[in-house]
Amino acid sequence: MNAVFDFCQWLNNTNISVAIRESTLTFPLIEGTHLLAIGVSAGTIAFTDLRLLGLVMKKDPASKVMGALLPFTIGGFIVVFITGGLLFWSEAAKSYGNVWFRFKLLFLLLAGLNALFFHLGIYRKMKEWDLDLSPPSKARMAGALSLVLWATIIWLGRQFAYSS
Amino acid sequence: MKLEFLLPFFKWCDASFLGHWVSGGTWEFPMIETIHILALTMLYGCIVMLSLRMMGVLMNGWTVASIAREVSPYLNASIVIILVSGTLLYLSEAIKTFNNAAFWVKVELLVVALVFHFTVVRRESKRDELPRGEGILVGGLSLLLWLGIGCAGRAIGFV
Repeated sequence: MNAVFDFCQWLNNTNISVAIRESTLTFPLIEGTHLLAIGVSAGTIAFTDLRLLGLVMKKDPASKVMGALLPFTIGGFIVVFITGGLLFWSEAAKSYGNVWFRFKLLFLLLAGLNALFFHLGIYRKMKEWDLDLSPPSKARMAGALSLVLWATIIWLGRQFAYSS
Repeated sequence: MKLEFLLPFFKWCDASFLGHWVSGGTWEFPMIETIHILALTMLYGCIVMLSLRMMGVLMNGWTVASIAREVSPYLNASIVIILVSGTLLYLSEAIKTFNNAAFWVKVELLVVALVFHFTVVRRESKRDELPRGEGILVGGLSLLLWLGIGCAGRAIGFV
């Protein structure tokens, strides 16, 4: 037994976990909201990535495109995070041992690190490449990685939902 | 609304070679559904940007027409991928979906949304700016239609 597993077991036995799990409507509604919010956040992330790759809105500064989309990415992500947290809460014990779920968490971490390194790195020199039709290779790499990572996260989430 | 007279067609679909291919193996259904979901994500991103711009909520630094021009290739491509993958998924369980109320809601909403998109939205989004009320009406309707399809689609698995 380890502490994380004990915590998941404890979560699984809380009243809220049981309530979400056993209600006919609550779980589908939370999951439906989770999916629609993924559309908003991952969809706008995809456009941000396409701008970094120099594929859309080439005539507009990258910073302008990213700034205009960011509130929707963040807003969508907050909803995704809260609903995802509730879904996990309702099936904590089952999720703990699920390989899809573990890989999903790993890839979420990788997507987070990719965004972090982008912001700490090439993003800081944005003034130098803001108007480039094709941004520098580091920015293009961050965009391509982000697209691949988020697509993988969605795939892993889908597999997780249908497994066991 | 369930269209009873289509039952023979649904049976034919269910027995089709493509339907058997999708439902037969272990990886075909999950892989096609994953492609369906990824294309959906892209479509939602495009629809959110275009609809909210028409409503004057986001990206007001761009004209409606320029947002429409930028998202169109991705929007159209995702619609094609969604329709092809969705048809394959449907073929694999056509008879099961015939008795699924959510499926009918989804398909009928989809027809309305596609017609609305390729007539009204397409024409209106050629303009630089929409009058406030009109933008809210057209953008709001578009957003609600596609969100409704998403909800009904997810409900197929639960009813």
